[in-house]
Amino acid sequence: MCARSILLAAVMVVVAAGSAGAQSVFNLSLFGQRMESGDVRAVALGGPVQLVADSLGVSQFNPALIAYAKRVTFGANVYSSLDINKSAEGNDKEGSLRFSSLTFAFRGISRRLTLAVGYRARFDPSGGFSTTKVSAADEEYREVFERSGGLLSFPFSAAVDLGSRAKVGGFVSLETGRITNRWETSFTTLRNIDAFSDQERTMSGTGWGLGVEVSLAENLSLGATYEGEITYDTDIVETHTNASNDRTATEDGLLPERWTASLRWTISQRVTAYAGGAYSDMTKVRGMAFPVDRLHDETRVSLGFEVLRVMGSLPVRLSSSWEEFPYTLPDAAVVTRIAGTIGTGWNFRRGAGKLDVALQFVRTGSIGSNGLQNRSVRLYVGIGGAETWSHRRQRR
Amino acid sequence: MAMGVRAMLCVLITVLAACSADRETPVGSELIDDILGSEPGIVSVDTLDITSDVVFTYTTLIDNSTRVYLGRDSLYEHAVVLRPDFSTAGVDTARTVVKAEVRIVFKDDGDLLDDDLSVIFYELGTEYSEGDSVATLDTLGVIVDPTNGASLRQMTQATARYEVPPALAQAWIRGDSASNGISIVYQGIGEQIMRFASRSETVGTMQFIVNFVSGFQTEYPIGHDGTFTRERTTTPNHVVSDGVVRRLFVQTDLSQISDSSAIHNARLTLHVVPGSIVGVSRSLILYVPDSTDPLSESFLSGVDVTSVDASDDTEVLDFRVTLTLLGMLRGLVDDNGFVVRYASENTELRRVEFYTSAAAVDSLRPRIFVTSSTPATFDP
Repeated sequence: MCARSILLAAVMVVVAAGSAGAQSVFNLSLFGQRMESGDVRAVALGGPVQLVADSLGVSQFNPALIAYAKRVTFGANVYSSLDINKSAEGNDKEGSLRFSSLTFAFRGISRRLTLAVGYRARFDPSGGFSTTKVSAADEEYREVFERSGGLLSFPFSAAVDLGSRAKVGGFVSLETGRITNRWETSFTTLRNIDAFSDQERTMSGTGWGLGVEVSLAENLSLGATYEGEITYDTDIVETHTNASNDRTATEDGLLPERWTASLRWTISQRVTAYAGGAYSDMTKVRGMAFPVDRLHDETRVSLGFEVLRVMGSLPVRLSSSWEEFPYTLPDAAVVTRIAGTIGTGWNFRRGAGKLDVALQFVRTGSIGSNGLQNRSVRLYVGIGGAETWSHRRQRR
Repeated sequence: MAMGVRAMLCVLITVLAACSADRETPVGSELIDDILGSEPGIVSVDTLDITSDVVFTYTTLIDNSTRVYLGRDSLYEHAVVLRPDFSTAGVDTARTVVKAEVRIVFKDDGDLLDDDLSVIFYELGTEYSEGDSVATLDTLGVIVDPTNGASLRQMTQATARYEVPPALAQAWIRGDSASNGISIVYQGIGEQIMRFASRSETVGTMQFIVNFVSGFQTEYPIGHDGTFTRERTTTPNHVVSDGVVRRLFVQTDLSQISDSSAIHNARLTLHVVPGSIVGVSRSLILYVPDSTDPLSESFLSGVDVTSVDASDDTEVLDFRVTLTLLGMLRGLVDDNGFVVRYASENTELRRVEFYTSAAAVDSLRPRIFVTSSTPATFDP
C-alpha cells in the first residue's frame, strides 16, 4: 500500500508540474498570494496556523509537529482551484492546479529526534489580463500582461520529542523563486509587429524558523512558530523588443518575519477544536517594485473543528479563516480574505497511510471596497504514508 | 480504498478540464496604477518629416518596340532617333556621293492622322546607341532638304524617302564628321502620332540609301533607332512615369524616432493628384537605393521593399516600410531613403502625380507614419 501511495504521489506531482494557470487576480501584486502550503487535514481545520497532532501530518507548518512521526513518513499535497475574478471591467474564470508541498520525515539518531526534508510553495504570482485599445492610426491592439513563476522553499527540519508535554523543532531552508512579468503589445493585423518587455526576477536566500508545541493539560495544547525574515538576493534581467532597452540589475528583497500561535482543545473523545493566528509586519517588505506606502500588516485568524466518526468511520472537519492582505487597495482600503472549509479523511492500512480531502470556498476583496474581488473554490487532496524502516528490511 | 483515490483524481481532472484558462480578460488592469508594480509601454503614431522629396528624370528611349513613332499625344512629344551604320562603307569612302536619302517605312496602326506631319530633321550632337539614356535632344543643327533648302518637311502616310545633303552624307561615310545620328522632330500643333517600322521589324525597315558618281548605290542599314519622348507640360507635383522615366526620391531623418521605441508599423504615404493616373500596368515599387546620389549608377538598384497597384480612383498610396525601417535603425539596411518607380520601365506610357512636401494642404504632403511603443516600465 505504501508503494502504491508513493506512486500516486509521484503521479500527482507530474500532473501538477504539467499544469499551470492564473488563479486569483490578487496574485498579480507583491510576491503573489501566500499559498496554503501544508497538510490537507490542517487546511481543513483552518490552515497552516493550526496545531494538528498527526503522525502522518509531516507537511504542517510548525516544525515541532514532525516529532509525531516515528517512522519513515511522507506527505504530498496538491490543490485544484477554480477562480472567478470580478471588477467593473467584467469577470473571468480561471482554473489551475498547484503542487503545494512534499515532505519526507525519518527518524534521527535517537527515537526522540525526527528529521525532515521537503518542498513547500510560498507564493503564487501567476496571473494576467489583457485590454483592447486602438492606436491613433485606428489600429486595434491588445495590451497583455502575464505574470508567472513562484517562490519556493526547501526546508530541512528537525524536531525533538520532549515527551507528552512538549515538542520543539526548527528548520533552515533554501529559499528560491522566479517571477516573470511580461508586457506584450499585440496587434490584431498581421502587417504590424508585436512588441514585448520581459522582466525576470530570480530570487535566492536562506531562511530559518522555530516551532514548539506545549501540552498545558491532557486535552489542551498550545503551539507557536517563528519564521525569521528572509533576505533575497534578486537578479533582475529585462529584455525588450528593442534590445537597446535591455538591462540587468541586482536588488535586495526582504520578506519579514512571521509569528503564529495555535491552540488545540480536545473537547471530547469525538470533538476537537482548533484556533490559530498569524502575524507578519509586511510593511517591512522591500523589493518587487512595490509602493511602500501601500504595504500593510498581514494577519490571519482561523477556527476549526474536527468531529470523528460522523460518516461511519470518517471524520468531518470544518473551519473558517479570516485574513488581511499585506497591502491596501485602493489607497487605505484593506483587502480581506474569508474562507470556509469542509473536509474529511481516510486512514488505511491500520493508520500507516492516509488520504485527506478538503473543499474550500473563498471570498477575497470586494468590488465596493477594493474595486476587485475573487471568489474561488479549491479542492485540496493530500496523501501521507509511513513505513517502519527496520520492519521493511526484515521482510526483505 | 483505491476506488476512493481514483475517484478523487477523476474529480481533480474534471475540475481542471472544465476550467480552461481564458486570457482575454481585462480584470486586473485596474491594478496598473496602484499596486501592479509595472506599467505598459505607450503606443503612439508619429509623423516623420520628409527632409527631401525630389523627382529624378531618366529619359530612356523606348527601344525594344517594332515601331518608332513621331508626333504628340496628350502627355508627351515623341521624336524619332536613328543612326545609320557606316561600318561596311569600304570602297564607298573613295567614292563621291551624288544623293543620299533616308527611307522610312510608314506603318498604319490605326492612329488618327488628320494630315501629313510637319517635321524637321536634326543632326545629333552626341552619338546615340540603342538603349542609351538620353536626357535631352542634343542637336548640332538642322538637316535641310537639299532639293529646296527648306528646314520644314512633310512626312506622308506612306513609305517615302527623305533627302539628306550629299556633302553631309559624304562626311559621315568618309569619317570626316561624326555620324551621331539623326532626329526627326514633329513641328505641328495637333495631337497626332505617326508610326514607322523600326530596325526590330523583320521586314521593311528603315534604310540610308546613298547614290555615288558612276551609278553606284549602297543601302546602309539603320544600326540604332528609338523614340525619344519628353513631357509636354510642367507640373508643380511630383511625377512618377514611364515613357519619360521618372522616379521619386524621398528621404527622412530617422533620428526623429526614439532610440528606445519598438516599431510596430511604418508606412510611406503619398497622396495622388486626382485624375493624374494614366496608362496601364500601374504597379509601383518602392526600393531603398544603393546610393543617395541619383546620378550614380548604383542609385538605380537597391533593396526591394514593397509594391502597390494604383487604380483610377486611388487617392492615397501606402507603402509598408516597417521591416525596412527596422533594418535601417539596426544598421542592416543603408539609410538611403526610398525611391518610388514603376515596376516596368521603358515599355509603356504611364504616369501618376503625387502632391509634394510643398503642397498647400498639409495633409496632402508625403509622410512617413510610424506606430511605435515605448518599453514597459517595471520599476515606475
